[in-house]
Amino acid sequence: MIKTYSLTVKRDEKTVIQNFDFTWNKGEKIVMVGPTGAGKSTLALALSGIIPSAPGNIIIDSKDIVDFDLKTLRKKIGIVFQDPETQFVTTDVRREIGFGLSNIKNDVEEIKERVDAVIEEFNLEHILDRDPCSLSAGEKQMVSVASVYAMQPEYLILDEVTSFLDRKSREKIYEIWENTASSLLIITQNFREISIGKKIILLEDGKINFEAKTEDLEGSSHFSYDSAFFNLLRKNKEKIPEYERIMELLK
Amino acid sequence: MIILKNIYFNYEDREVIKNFSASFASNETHLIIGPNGAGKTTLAFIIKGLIKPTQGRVLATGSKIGEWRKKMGLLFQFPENLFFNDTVYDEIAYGAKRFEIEDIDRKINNIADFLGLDRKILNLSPFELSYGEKRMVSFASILIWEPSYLILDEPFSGLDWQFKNRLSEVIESLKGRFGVVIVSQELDNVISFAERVSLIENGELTFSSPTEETDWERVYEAGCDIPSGVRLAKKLKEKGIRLNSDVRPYTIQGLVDLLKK
Repeated sequence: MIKTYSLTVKRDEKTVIQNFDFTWNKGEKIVMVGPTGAGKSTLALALSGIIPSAPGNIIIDSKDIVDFDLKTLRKKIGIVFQDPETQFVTTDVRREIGFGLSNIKNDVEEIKERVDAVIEEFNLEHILDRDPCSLSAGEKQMVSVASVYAMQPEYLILDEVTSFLDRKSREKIYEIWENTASSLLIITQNFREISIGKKIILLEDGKINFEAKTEDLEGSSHFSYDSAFFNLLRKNKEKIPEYERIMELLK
Repeated sequence: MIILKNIYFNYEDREVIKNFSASFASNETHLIIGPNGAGKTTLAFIIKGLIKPTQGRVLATGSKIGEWRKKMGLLFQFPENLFFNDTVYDEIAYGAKRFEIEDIDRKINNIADFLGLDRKILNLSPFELSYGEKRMVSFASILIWEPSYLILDEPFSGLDWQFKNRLSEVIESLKGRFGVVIVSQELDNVISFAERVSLIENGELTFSSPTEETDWERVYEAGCDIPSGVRLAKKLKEKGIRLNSDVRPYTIQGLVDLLKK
């Protein structure tokens, strides 16, 4: 479990996250939404230990984040950045996917097996020999997610990692997220991703403005396109002759 | 009009663009869609002249393509990564000075107003801004030098819905005055005003058609998203509810309006 206690994060003298209390249970999939500038990416960087925080602010599985060595921390928490290119370090996709893994594991055979499995799971066979930086933005996003996923971190933070993906790639990623045992924190602007989480958090001005179980939102949610459709239909009830039937069918 | 004639582009040993021919009208909003790695960004770079096609020609009507390209603004993916000035004002003014635009001060204020940016941010560092504001500043730094053609590569990525809506309103308001090419995976923000849709797959043009004649089934088959209105209308049709109109709704609001009829 990751727990924050009055977490406060400053960037360039500006307080971005203030007195943030939050619990992320092991195995839990959380979706975080919020306007740009709300502090989502800053929070992600703090939770993953990239931005340092004060002792006692972030506790990971009963241990203070400041007491972790880097290698153990990377096994615990993985993060995929918004701009995939910022995390690439090698010159071909196969090596890129194995890079993080080879920093935390020694068994060459085990690394190879894991890399092969991830390549297959993410359908990356056709771009294996390419330089990650020469890929299209969507392909870069797939590779960046795959390379952190390969490390099998217990907690995985995904900071808007689907914005360039086509429908097929997005559906592939959603399928992987649905089936993974890792705890996920999915930061997104895409309302369709909300249903993947068990919990949804709305972050505004560095604070949790709204928190709910996803199942409680069903039908009345303002968060999905389909629900927006439901709401609009409801508002125009009298004017739509087949209203009852349409609602019944769409439900 | 910009005309691409039998364009090929090879990168290392791969054919990224293959026998691509299309035209881009000078006052049309043209949406380019396609799966990841189809060659959309490469095509945008070829139009702007940032890369040279291996084979084929880029032509223009009226004047030479070089003249066109001088008036062509390109909004890159992650344009914020290109910031290098100390203040938002200098960031926007940079391009204007290069193009010897006069009366910069007034124009910067006007553009800030037009894009809904608070004038106060002009004195801040561009690196301090929110993601959405940064995108608007990137856009402002193009508009300031008065281009007549815009190429926008995934302009909505990473923006929240408010900034997406604001940016799409801005792009829509330029309609007719600018030729605009938009490369986007997100269709809901542009489909209601885009006049032409082209689908690219594996570096080849699958089709290019007026928006209302777009073969959405084919777009879906290619692995791309389709507009929410089209998707929901499809769902209704599958459930036996037929829409009595030739007009195809693209947005949710459009679909609701149609159902009211």
